[in-house]
Amino acid sequence: MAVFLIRRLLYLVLTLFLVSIAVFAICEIAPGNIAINSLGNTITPEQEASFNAQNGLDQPPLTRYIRWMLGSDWQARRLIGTEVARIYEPENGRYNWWGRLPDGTLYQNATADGETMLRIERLADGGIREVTLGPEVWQRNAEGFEIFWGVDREGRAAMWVRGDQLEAWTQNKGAWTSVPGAPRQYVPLQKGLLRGDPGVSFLTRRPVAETLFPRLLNTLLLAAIAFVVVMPLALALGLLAGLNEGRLTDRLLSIASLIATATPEFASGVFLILIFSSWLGWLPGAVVVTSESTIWQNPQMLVLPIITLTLIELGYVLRITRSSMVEVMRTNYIRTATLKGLPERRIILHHALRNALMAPVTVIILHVNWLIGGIVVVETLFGFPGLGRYVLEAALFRDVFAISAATMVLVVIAVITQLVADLIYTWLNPRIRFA
Amino acid sequence: MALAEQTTAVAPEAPPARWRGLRTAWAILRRSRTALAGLAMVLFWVGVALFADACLVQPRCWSGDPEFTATPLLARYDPLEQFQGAGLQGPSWEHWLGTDRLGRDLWARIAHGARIILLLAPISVGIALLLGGALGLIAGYFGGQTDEIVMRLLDALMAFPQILLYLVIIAALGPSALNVVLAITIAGAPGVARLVRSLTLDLKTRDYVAAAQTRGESPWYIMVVEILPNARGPIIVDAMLRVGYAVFAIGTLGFLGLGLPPPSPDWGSIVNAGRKFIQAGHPWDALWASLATASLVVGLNLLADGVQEELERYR
Repeated sequence: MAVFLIRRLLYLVLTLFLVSIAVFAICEIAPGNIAINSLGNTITPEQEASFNAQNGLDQPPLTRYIRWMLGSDWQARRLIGTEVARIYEPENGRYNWWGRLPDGTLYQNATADGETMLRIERLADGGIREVTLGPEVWQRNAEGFEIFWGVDREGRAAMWVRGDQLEAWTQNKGAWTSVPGAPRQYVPLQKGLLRGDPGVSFLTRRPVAETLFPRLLNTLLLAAIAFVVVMPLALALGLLAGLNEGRLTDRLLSIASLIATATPEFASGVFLILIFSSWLGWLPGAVVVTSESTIWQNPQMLVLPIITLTLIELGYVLRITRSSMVEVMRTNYIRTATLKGLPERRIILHHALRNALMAPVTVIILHVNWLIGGIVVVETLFGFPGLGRYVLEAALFRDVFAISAATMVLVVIAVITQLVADLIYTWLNPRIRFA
Repeated sequence: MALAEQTTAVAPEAPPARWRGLRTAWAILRRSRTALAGLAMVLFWVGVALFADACLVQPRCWSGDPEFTATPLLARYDPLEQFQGAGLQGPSWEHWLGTDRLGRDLWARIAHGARIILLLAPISVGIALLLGGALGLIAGYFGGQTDEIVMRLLDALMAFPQILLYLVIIAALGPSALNVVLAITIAGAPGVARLVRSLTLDLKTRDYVAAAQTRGESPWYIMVVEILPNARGPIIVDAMLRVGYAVFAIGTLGFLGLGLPPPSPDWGSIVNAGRKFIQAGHPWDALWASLATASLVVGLNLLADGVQEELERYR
């Protein structure tokens, strides 16, 4: 069992590694570049080059893959020579990176003329103090340039070259401004996907993690409720159909479940909205979220999304349970039990049920991949603020860090649930456990 | 095989060889009410797609002349024609299913959408069958290392939730008919490969395969001539289900805004464009396109389900 588990875990890590490379590669080969996608196609070549440099997109793919996975703060620490730290700025309501001197002072750097470096120190109350640094901070590198590594005002590790007259282009609310005294090279600071920080969204300019995790919780909530509703209902109806094989109950349940499973979520969702929201007016047809707690204040908003999600899973699980039950009821040991004269209730509860539930239980968990698809559609249709809609919006806007992070999170969930399904199956079925 | 037994039972007069397959299929279908109901639903949409306009008999339509629009038949109007001042109408005698935001006839759009979906779904399943079938045959027949490598890669692909595969592929390559087909093929091929592999594993132990090996036939000959034809029953049923999935997936992609670019009348895109107007009291776009997609997928599933049930009965 231990060997089995270790081997499966190794496969899991290998799969995730391959998937991460695949996701990175697909984002890499996507036609059209990130600068044009994020800033529009009216930008000048200088603006594009500046954008790419500021976001570290001018680096080779391997460097960027490593930064994406493992972060760049440790690289920056080596270049700058002091600690760097990500701290919360209450006055701006966001996280930002600062350098940290050995005495604990937080600082960032700037220069106006490419000659005099300033150190902007952050005071405890959020205010700042400017310190002018002497010319001794410039250090001569191997190519003979006088350079200085520090943290710029946007919280990126940056390399200034003495005497440079570079300008950095930034876009603020649609207007372009150029700032003199720009660094020559940047290392955008991030902790990396493995440490819970998959970078900054090019679309919203906020850290992906900040949006992703609340969205993930919303989605898990939706999926969990759907799961709790589907499971008992589908198993019970499936057993009912299986026990009445060939009779009217079975025919009706089978046809209904086939229709429920075959109807795409967007179609069943539209039908439900039309019936329960437009026609009968019983339930709201969209999820409108104005604050964090709206979902809890108006739980009836969740009813239609959950029913939509439930319908498709219900039919599927029902059919599996039915065929599993039919199969078990035809086995020799059930026939023996019947011939022995055991009461039917006892045969079903003691002999058939456990064996009949084995297939559906594992299949349900394996079906998580399918559920994720349903979740994307349902969240889009009802406007539910979850991870599914997030990944779709990221894909539509080609928001590279957002789509790669969300994809990785969903793949991790899918792969882990598959492992769990395998373990449960092994546990339920001794023939595999001891093979 | 079940198919062979069925032929002798139903048609003892031994019809000409080229009709035998069709007769067998009909004999199976005839016995299952489920399959017949499904067939009727599918044939309805096939008919609508074929005769939406007179394209079939108008050679200029085939040459791809952009100036030329085929004479509308069943669809009654051109799917792109905008009726001025007739936007967002409900069903009427003029416009059977109503009109959309731009005043385009919804029935014409649905009918032409059937053509798109009934073209793309079988094509993508066909390519997935070729690709997955070849991989499955090779993995199953050769076994050993080949099997291990092919199946590991396919497992990794299957670990990927399909919707993400679609999203990532289409986000990377952009929405177009070709990319939709590509995405569905890539997502579908591993499943086909698994099925064909398991069938091959079973069939390669048969005597006729051993006989062919003794005759010194090449592995490729054995795979294509001896094994593949004998695996066709389950593969055909699986393919029918897969066409259903493909319709499902194309609809979903269109709904998510990842399908064919506008003004293409594919059903998912019609729902996507129309859902904004549901709350405003114009549910027709979303309703009809949803009904169309649902009925086609349900029809295909009923058909596959009925056929499978009948085949199992004779096993």
